[in-house]
This record gives sequence, structure tokens and C-alpha cells, in this order.
Amino acid sequence: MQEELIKVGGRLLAISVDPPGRSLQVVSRNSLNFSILSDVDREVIHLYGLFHAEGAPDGSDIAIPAMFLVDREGHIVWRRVSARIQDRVDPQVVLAKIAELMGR
Amino acid sequence: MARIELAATSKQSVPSGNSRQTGDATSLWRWVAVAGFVLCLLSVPAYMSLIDVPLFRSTGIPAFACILLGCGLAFVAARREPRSWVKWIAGLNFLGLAFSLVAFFGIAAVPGPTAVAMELTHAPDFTLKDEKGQTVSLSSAHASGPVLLVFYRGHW
Repeated sequence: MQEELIKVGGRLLAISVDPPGRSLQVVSRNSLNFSILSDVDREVIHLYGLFHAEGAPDGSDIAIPAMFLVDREGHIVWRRVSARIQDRVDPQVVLAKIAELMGR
Repeated sequence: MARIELAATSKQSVPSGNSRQTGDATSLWRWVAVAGFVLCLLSVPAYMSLIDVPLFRSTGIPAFACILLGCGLAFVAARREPRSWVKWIAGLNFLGLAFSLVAFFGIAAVPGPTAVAMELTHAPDFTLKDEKGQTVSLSSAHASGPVLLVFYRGHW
């Protein structure tokens, strides 16, 4: 899915509340080729309405899992907010949305 | 005299025949109980091996099928087998079932989508550091193409 995104000049940005050091471990351990941004102060998850107070097993505040597809003007053209942490979105759905976006 | 002795020995042989039969039956139920326990333990690898199937991932069907079957087997075995350790195994299995229910539906639950998350039309701009310490802003990212913003739990 990310390859398709890159083909159309798009980009995948992941965000979590993990500090950069932890995210670096995740990127290297999984050989990821996208950036993971650190929202340590929880500002961005508040901005996007994704604040889950004490959601982590250790009691810290984390994000509700979600995806937003943002076009070049900054409009949200597709979103998926998970109802359960096991939810995973079908890549085909996202790809179709991206194709639709590029067809405009 | 010989006939009485014969009768006596034949009477004696009958009860031992019975206990041999019940001995086989109880050892069978013990195995059923152990099978039930093993099945409950297998619920975790069952779930993990089918985790890429979205339906199984979000409902936990492979794990719960194993656990329920395991509990059922252990329950039936505990009713037929008087040994206490079999009852302990059945109890453990049901405890495992309760724990799995709490873990899967309780702890793993997230609050539903918030109004803010669902009603945003424009992606609020922000600037954050990535894992290499480089500053990334959303507006500069989407200027060159669509951006898929993925919020995840972290803490893996």
C-alpha cells in the first residue's frame, strides 16, 4: 500500500506518543521506510480528537488508532477511526481512495 | 466344597473386572481434561496464526473457539472423573476464559471515535520531530502529495 502511495507522490506519516528513541527502535527493528513522528506532549492527538486517557497498559495517555488521508490542500478526504485496537483497515480501501484522489 | 470355592472366586473376580473397566474409563476422562487444557493453551497460537484475517483479528474467533471447546471438554471430564486435579484443570480453563474475555473486550477496548475526529474537514497543521530528530510539518508534507496520517498506539 505504501508503494502505491509513493508512486503517486504521496507519503505515509506515522504518529505515536513514543519518544524518538523508541520510534527509532521500531523503525530499525521492522526495517520501515516511513517516518514515525513523536507526539510526546499529546498535542496532536488532542488536535485530532484522538486522546485516549490512560489507554496504555501502564496507564499513560495514548492515541485512539486512526488513519486520515490528507490531500494537497490539507483537506481530510478519507478517515478511519478504530473501535478496537485490533482493527486493521483493508489496504485496498485506502488504495482506492488514493486513486480516486489522483483522478481528480 | 469345590463348587463353593469356585463360586467364591468367581464372585471375587467380578468386582475386579468392574474396577478395571472403571479404571479405563477414569483414565480416559483424565486425558480428556488434559486435552481440554492443552486446547485452551493453543488458543493463543491459534489467534496469532490467523491474525491477518480481519474478521478473526477483531472478533478473536479462533482463540475463543479453542477456549470454549477446551472448557467444554474439561467440564465434561470433571463431572465424570472424581479426582480433584481434574476439577482444578476445569477451573483453570474457565478462569482462562474469563481472563480472555476481559483482556479482549475490556482492556483492548478503545473509546469510540470522538466527534472531533469524525467531523474534522481540514487536517490541523502541526510540526513534530521524527525518529531521527528531524522536524516534519504536515503542511510541507502534503504540499508535495497526499499524506496518509497513521496514528498508532506505540508502546509495543
